[in-house]
Amino acid sequence: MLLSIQHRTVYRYPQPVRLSRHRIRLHPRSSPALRVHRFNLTLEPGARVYWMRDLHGNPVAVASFDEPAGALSIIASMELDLVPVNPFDFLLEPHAAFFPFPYTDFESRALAPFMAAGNPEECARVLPWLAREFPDFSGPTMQILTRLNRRLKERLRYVRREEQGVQAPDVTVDKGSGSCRDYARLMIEICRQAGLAARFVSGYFHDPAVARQSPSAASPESMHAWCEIYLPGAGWKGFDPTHGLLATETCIPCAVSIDPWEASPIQGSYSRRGGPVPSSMEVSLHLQPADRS
Amino acid sequence: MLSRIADSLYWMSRYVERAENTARLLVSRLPLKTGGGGPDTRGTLGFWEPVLERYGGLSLYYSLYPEPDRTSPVAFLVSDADNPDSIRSSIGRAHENALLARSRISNDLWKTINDMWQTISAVHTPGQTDGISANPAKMIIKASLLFQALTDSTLPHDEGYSFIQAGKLLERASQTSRLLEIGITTPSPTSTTEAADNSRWRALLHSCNAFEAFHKSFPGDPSPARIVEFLLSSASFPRSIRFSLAGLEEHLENLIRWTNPPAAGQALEVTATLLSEIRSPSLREVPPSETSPFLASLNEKLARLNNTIIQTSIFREDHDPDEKSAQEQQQQ
Amino acid sequence: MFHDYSTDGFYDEMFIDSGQPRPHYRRLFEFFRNLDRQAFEQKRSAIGQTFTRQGITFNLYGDPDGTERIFPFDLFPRIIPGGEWNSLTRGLEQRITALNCFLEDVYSRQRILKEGVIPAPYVLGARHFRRECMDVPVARDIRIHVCGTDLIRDAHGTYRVLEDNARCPSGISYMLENRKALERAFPGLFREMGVRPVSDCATELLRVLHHIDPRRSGNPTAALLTPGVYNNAHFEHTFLARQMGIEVVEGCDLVVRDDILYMRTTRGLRRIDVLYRRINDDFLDPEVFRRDSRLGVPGLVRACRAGNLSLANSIGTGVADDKVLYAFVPAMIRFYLGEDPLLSNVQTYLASRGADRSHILENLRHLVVKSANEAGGYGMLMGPVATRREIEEWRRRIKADPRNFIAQPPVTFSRHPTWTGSACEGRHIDFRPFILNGAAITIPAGGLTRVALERDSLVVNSSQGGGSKDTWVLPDGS
Repeated sequence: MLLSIQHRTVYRYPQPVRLSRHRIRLHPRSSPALRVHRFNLTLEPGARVYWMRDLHGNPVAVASFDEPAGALSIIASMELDLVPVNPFDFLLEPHAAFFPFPYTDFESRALAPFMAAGNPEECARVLPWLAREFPDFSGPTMQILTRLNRRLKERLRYVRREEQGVQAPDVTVDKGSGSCRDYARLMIEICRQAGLAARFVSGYFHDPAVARQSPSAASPESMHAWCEIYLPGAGWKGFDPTHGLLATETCIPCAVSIDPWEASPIQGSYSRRGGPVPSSMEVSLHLQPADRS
Repeated sequence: MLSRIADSLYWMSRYVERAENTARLLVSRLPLKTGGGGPDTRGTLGFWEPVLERYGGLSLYYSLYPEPDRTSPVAFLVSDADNPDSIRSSIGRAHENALLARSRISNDLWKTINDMWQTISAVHTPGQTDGISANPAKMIIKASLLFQALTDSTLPHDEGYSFIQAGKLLERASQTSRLLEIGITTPSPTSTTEAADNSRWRALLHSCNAFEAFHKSFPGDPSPARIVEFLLSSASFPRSIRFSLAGLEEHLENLIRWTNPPAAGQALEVTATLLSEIRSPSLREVPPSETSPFLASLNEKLARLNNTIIQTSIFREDHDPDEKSAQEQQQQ
Repeated sequence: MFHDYSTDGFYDEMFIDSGQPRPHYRRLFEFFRNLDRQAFEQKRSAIGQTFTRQGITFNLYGDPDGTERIFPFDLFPRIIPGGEWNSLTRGLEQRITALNCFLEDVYSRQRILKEGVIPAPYVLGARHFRRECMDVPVARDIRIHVCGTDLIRDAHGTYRVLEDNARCPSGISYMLENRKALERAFPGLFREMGVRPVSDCATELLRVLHHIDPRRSGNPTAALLTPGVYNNAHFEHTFLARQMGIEVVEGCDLVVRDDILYMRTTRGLRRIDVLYRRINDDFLDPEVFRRDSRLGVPGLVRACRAGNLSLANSIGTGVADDKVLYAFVPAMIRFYLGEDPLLSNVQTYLASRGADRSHILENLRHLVVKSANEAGGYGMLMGPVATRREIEEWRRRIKADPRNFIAQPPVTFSRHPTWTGSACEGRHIDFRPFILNGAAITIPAGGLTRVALERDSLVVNSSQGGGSKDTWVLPDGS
């Protein structure tokens, strides 16, 4: 399936501000099932841009601005070729077929940063929540994890949160609600505390079917977030707790990271002599199947 | 017994014996030099060179002492930490091994070795050496004798004891052979008088602590041929090569009885062959000045015997059979 | 001897106030008062010589010479009355039972985390938590077999636990050697006062090792794993092994084949069932932990997982003496045993808790800050005596990694008369009894009393200029 995406972000400032170097993570992580045919990045004001692969292999555009500006607009437009995938088409290594399982020593070493439990002050009620929901959290690995994924969708109420940042897992548990990034963060913390390596994913979501059923769940107006769990034999496997589904070609990853903030689609700062000024942000996102030609 | 401990006991004992022999060599040569020569540096060096060659090596010596004086050979042999064959180095390694085997040796034995180490490491470093003093060497000889006595009287005579004895006896055999080599090859100091030549052979006997024993065995016949024969194949003198190897044979037999190594007998076989060579009457026909090739080959065989003992009796082949598994991997 | 002795207002073990000995010290007081200076000096030097000759020495980490020093020993024994000892031991038993339950729990069901008694990240993120050992059963469900618990007495004479050493506590040999030396010096006093013996400690330890035989053969082979002769506790390793009649092995002596641990001996490979290991988790098995370790042996953890080997202490016990989790020990006692703690902790602030953190940062000058995972008095800020630069340095460190720091108000340790070389003066002491956990919990009647030899110093660690005393426990009703 060919998909064209247009992602437009505009920041406005009451007075001209000096823009720091910005990191832009809007380019999909290509793979055999996801090919990027075309990708254009347009910045206003003009900037010098170079591309790099960051720590996690994410393609990142680094933009440097010379002149102060009253607004910053970032437009990414692209055309992708998506191959439908069966998310269950893999074979777990025998040692990982049943949860709990220990990673091999080689895996543990590489995965250590993705397994570290969070801040005790913000993640104290995660394991108690899990124990309530799953008094016995063990069994065939995929079965356990898909159940957990579904359970998050069932138990949490989706809300669009405009405020910056991600909710602490304890807050999500207490409030029983959050946005997709909060779902992902909670799921990641659960996995890490249970001894699984998990990472945060930011990207685009496009599924006409789901969008028809519950338009609020995945607003096409912003980017999506989910998580990946490392399963020996399957590799990094995407779980989308907001929808309670395994990630398929409908989840288009742009950046993965240990902590959510590292995967922000756009990251940068601005400053102005004479003190801070507020800013406003406007995002629009259009995803559209394109004709094969 | 842990193989590592057996190894430490064996080497502890070898190094104490080595230190004692180095010390004896030194003590036996000091009066020679002070009696015979003047302050002539070249003479001194000619006299010491065969010794230095076998205890550390001449090239090392000249690199450490580019401008040698009368005292530098002594410093090189006694207290030089850079010379691996100096008394200090030998005692250092004996001490280290004793520390590793601390749980298997008696307190008294440990203390003796500790004292040896304290004494020798307190000896002045080269530049400051206070002339040619034989005192540290004499102390080491005494302490080594105490070490032997304590080994006999404070340790159980079990496999550990046999490893200690094996180390000592093998070292003794190779040291006596080394001393013989030196005795044979040392040129007479500047004056080639008969007196000087006599004193050289006397020193050889002294360096093996054999002076009295020899004269009792061969009263009135101090010919070089007799001396060589005595040190090589006396059946009763405890420092002769033959006597040492016979003792070694006995302890290797004990070890086989106790530990039954899979390669039992390898070391024993080598020892027996060496013994029969030394006992062979034809050896007596060889004139002393031509014994060198035999001694050189003997030394080589003793070194091989050492390896055999370590590989078959201490660390056994069945500890780590070759575990080779092939892995396929594509290289870039 | 005690003429000019002053308690200086501290809680003194021996004197109620200057000149007035506590009842259980009265006999000792009279004995030393009647001992003339010459006899006293004789006994002191005799003991000193015994120690040197036997090489009861330790190496110092961070000492470039690696030279050996004699563990300084003070002649005046510390005395604990029978009743006081009995209540102490009850408290220690309770504590080790709870700690053992805690370890058993966090490495399997994690009830205490799931019920929210301890926020899970404190445990799961602890440096010494070993995820690799999840669901690996240990023989007889015992994980801490030897524990050395450091106790102090505060200004009111109340015993408080300063820390639990549940990894590789050392000091048993010093306790036994100190006792031997004093028994030789004062044979009469021991009989007369009925001092309880500590001598069967090594036998008890061996019994514990036999109890955790994974094969239950009744005749297991045990060995002691040492990092080697240059370790500062090597004397203790050989001492204990000799007392127990087991081998002292190093990593290079060991080999794992088919998940069974063997030692290389002159008689071939010999199977080891129980390893009393005196090296830390990190170095045990390069397959699992630090790959650069030459101290352990590859495959050791596999042997444990396969149930062919018991380790004392088990892998992962370090999480029990994490200084952050220390603060939760009272909660553990309530949770697992349903009892109130018999021994008190020292009040502890966790830098990772918001409210505690601001209290710590505002009061650095008045607190002792410790990093969570350092032992032996390293990694500690003594607020009241620190320089401004140190304070700022620690402020930065705490902010950067709050999880790794705790703070406590400075507790004044009790003092005990101690010989300074020319006079008898009060010096601060702590106390480390040893708890052996096998078929039953046994606590040898005594322990290591450590003394800060420098006046007003609170640092009692042997590695930092502390010394030790013999500890006498009197019979019941004394």
